Amino acid sequence: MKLYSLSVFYKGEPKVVLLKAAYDVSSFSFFQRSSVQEFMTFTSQLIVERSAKGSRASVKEQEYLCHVYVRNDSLAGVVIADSEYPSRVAFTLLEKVLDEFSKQVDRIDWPVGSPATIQYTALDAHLSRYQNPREADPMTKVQAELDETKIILHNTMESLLERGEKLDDLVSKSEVLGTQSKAFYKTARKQNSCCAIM
Amino acid sequence: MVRGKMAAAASIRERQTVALKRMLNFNVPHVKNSTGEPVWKVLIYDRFGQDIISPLLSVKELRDMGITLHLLLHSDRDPIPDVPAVYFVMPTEENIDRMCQDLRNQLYESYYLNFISAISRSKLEDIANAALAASAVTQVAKVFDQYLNFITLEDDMFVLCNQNKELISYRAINRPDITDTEMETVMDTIVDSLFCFFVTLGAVPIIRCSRGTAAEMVAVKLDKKLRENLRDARNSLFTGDTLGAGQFSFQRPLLVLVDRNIDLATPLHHTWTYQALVHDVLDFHLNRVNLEESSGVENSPAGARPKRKSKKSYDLTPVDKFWQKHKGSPFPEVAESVQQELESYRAQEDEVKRLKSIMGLEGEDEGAISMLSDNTAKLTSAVSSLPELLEKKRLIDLHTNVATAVLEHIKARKLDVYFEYEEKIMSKTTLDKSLLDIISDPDAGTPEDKMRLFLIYYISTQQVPSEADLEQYKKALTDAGCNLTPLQYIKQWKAFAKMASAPTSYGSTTAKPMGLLSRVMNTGSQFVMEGVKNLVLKQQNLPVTRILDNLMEMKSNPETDDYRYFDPKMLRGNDSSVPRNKNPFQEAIVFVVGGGNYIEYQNLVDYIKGKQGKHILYGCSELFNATQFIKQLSQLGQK
Repeated sequence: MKLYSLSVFYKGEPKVVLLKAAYDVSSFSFFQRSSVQEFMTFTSQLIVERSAKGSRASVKEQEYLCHVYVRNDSLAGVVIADSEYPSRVAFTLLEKVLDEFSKQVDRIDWPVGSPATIQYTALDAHLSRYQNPREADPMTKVQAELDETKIILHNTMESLLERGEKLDDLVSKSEVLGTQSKAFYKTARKQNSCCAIM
Repeated sequence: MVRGKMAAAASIRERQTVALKRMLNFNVPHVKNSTGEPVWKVLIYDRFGQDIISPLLSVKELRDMGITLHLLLHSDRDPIPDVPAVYFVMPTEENIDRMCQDLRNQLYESYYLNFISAISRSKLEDIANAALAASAVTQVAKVFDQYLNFITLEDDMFVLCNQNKELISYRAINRPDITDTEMETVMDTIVDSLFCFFVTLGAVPIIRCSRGTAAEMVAVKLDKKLRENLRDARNSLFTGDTLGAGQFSFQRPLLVLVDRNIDLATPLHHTWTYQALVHDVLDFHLNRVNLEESSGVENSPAGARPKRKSKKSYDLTPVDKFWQKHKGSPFPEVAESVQQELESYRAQEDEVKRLKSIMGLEGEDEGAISMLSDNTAKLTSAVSSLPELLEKKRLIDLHTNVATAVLEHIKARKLDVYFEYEEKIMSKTTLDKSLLDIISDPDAGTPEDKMRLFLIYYISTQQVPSEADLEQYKKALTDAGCNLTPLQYIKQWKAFAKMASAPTSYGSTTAKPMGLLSRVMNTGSQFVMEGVKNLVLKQQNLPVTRILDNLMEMKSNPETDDYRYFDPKMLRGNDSSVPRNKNPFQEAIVFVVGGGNYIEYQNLVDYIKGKQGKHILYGCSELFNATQFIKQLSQLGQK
């Protein structure tokens, strides 16, 4: 079981802003790492865009699960994990991180922040510690109030899109993805298999 | 010496051989056919040096250069105080230590130190100090950086190394747990060899590479290294006289750097041409093939002893005319040609016998023959052609044995079936038999053959099989005895691979009517090809060849349009993808980072055959056959 990324966003109108992110791409080969990282950012951002305020959701894509929590104050967090990782722990992590973040970073910095300007350094440590869910989060600490029926489950990324919207267009227009990653996606798409990484 | 345009097509084998001979001649250019005896000397090498020399110079050729004794550096060597020693080693710590020890022990009369790749300043000082301490400074006659750190196997094919090849293997480059520093070391090792290659070739290439891969990293570093060397006015290795003076090729060669990951099907493919087959099914490397032969049942008083296996090794060299002619031929053609050679040899042998018997000299030795005056001319020519005949017989025996060994594998494993089926898969033609049938067939192929077939299918298919189908295949494979770990890795690879536009159709591989084969069978050939399909290869381009074609001929193609462009000779490092040179290239070097094989090589050879005046060299970081490659995939698939 594995965690791949943990990111914090501000769900602004209209744009979603990446505030801080941590990645663990150590299971990918050397030359894939940067593309994988970019795709994870792209996916996380897209999910936050398409999720309503005050909601939780899990989006399945091949063997990965993206868990998102968008708070009512527009602060949002996404964790990307494999399908084995317990989603309950993932949401606990998100809750904890967003809570801590909102205490450490002024609200006024959220709409205009970026990873370079935001002073919040605990993300990497959290990602690393939560690789082992049992150690990081013994059952007693799990939030009892977490009502799992309220978590929306999406079986694919496509279900987040609006009618007529194409993932391909979003990929090409993305500012987050470098040319290499876009090329990866384009050719993988041609082969009729879903998005290469996500 | 004026060399025509064809000769300008540099044979890397020739160039490296010339460089070696010059080194063995005390670093003075070696002139052939010079009168007088060569100076006798001792050659000391390490395993790297041995691997470089052995495909290029035979023991006889070494002796012709005056090498009376050749020894490994790290062996017990007695002092030979009146003989000069030529060293050819890598500049490693252990080697330097041993050389210093040799100096202190006063082993030889004089020392010619040659380093396969450039030695660092500090290590050079270590040697100088040791020489001083041993009062042997005057005996160290010459110290050279040879820049020969690569192995040439054919006129137009080279490999980076044989020793330590795990350090730069496909696995080493693609394993997930590699750190930045480790990757730097791997890349630097590859670049060092490539640099040596271009120094020996005497040319500074234009470099093209794909983005985001190991090939790109190699390109960036190689460009930097070449650039730095060119600008070093004092020590540049690319000055006029090394740049192949007399060459009429004004254009610089193209270096295409590709990553193994653009095509994983070809290294797994079953093949049908002679050299590639030998590499695939027999124990073949550095141009030497090792066979195990059963010598037949032995008779003894105690009853028939079981067959004993004797080992035989053959060197497949440039002077082997049969090999040179047929190494790229489809196997049935090879079998037929061996048969033809045998018949022609027997005819010549009969002719000699006939002449001998005419003279009533059946069974007598040549001494008696030469004393006769009548018909001496006839006999002399028959007798003098005996060495040629003997050589011919040697080659016929060699290839009969090798081809027979190959044929045994083909028949036992039904390799023709695999070859044909895979060609269909890779060219996206409709399949007449179900994949599952072949996998479940107990008579066709080893578990590894089946795994190879399935992996090729998985790699080439447009639609990844559904979970249910995949489970079915996996079960069939496991029942057939396969280990599924390579599949794990390939699944992951497929998810990320830059799968460029599908490989161009190979065209259909049809079984030709039996005409060709029946002739072989009817003449009582030892090659009983019964039941083996006479498959004809239709020339189509493999992915690497396709990429080369686009870049060499300046064709626009989405696959290669965004390849990076480097010209080390240009003053400012230009990162534009737009090539400044608009003309097609005459010469190209294709280098696969991550490993290559003879199938790819042969495909390039066939591609360039039709193009007058064009020339390609093929190189790879390591050479593996399917068995070795699957092993690496398996290791990568284990988590």
